[in-house]
Amino acid sequence: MDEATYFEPAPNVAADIVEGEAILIRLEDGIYFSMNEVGSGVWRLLEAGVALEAMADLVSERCSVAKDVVDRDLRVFVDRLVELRLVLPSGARPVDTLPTFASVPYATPGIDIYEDMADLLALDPPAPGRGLKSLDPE
Amino acid sequence: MSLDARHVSCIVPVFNGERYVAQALRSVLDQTAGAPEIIVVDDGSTDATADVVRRFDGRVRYFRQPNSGPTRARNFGLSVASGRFLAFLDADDLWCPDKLGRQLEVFARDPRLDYCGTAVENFADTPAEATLSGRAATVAGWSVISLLARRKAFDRVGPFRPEFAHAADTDWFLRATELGLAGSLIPEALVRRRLRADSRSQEHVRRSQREYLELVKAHLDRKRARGSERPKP
Repeated sequence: MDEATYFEPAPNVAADIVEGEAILIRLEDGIYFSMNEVGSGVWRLLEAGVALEAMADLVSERCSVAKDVVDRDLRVFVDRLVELRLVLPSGARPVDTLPTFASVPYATPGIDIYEDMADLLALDPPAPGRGLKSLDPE
Repeated sequence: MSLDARHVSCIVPVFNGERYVAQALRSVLDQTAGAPEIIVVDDGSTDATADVVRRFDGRVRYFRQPNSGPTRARNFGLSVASGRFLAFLDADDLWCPDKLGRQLEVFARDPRLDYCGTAVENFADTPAEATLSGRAATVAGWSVISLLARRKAFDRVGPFRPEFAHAADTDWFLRATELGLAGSLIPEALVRRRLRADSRSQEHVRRSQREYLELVKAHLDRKRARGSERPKP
């Protein structure tokens, strides 16, 4: 896997933090994902354009865990996100506001995958931003 | 007991649909299984929709509500429908001629079945609109425009929830699944959905996505509460 430093959400992914938990839907197939607490915090940082190295510093400090452990875990985590087509390597972007990262007990950032709604989300996925017709009142 | 189209009510919400609604209604009237009861709920159109629909007098029941969205229009249709089976179509989409017949056959074979869908074929009037849509030609998935459900299914699941501006149909199917209702999806595309290029704002997209993500999160929380969470390894 490459050693990119910056990542951004892939264009065909709907993602947000819902009640503290990162929820993602891959619009192409309706598979959805949830992240654990540390993974959700990392997702916020990644979305904001924080470099991997800076993420590791922050997580290490906030979770009181050795930097080399976080370095390794973060690399495995983002490689997994790339493999799942949820993020893409990107260039450096300006970080407008650094998201907060709560001091939580450290756990390896993790993501769970669910396929049970695929046939519900296949035809009418969340608007991908182009070309959906609508009967909604304008 | 044999089933035919007389047992079915088809609910068609429409908002400013003068251009396509006649075509949609003809596709329902021309079913090989016969014409069902058709209920058009005009969601406060300001164009000639009412005039177009009135040309179908005697074959279509027309109702009008103040503009409040397709979900409330469908729910109103549910409240006045008389059929033991309930179906839906949007005013710019089309049923294929054997849609209803094929689904009624499935119900006749399986009396325990609660609802039945079909794959949906996306189509566009112009190549530009097809390209803009970025959608696959045929999609096998649950959609309200292909749904045929026993009224008893709606009695159990309830109507569409109007608090969802974007995801009310998906929410209904999700609740049906969670209640253990039996659904069957015909893999052939028996409904045609018209894709239209539009100019939705980024804010509209953001709100739609947020609603689906909240729906997914609520579903996940219910699964966890039941102890049935099973992420893929």
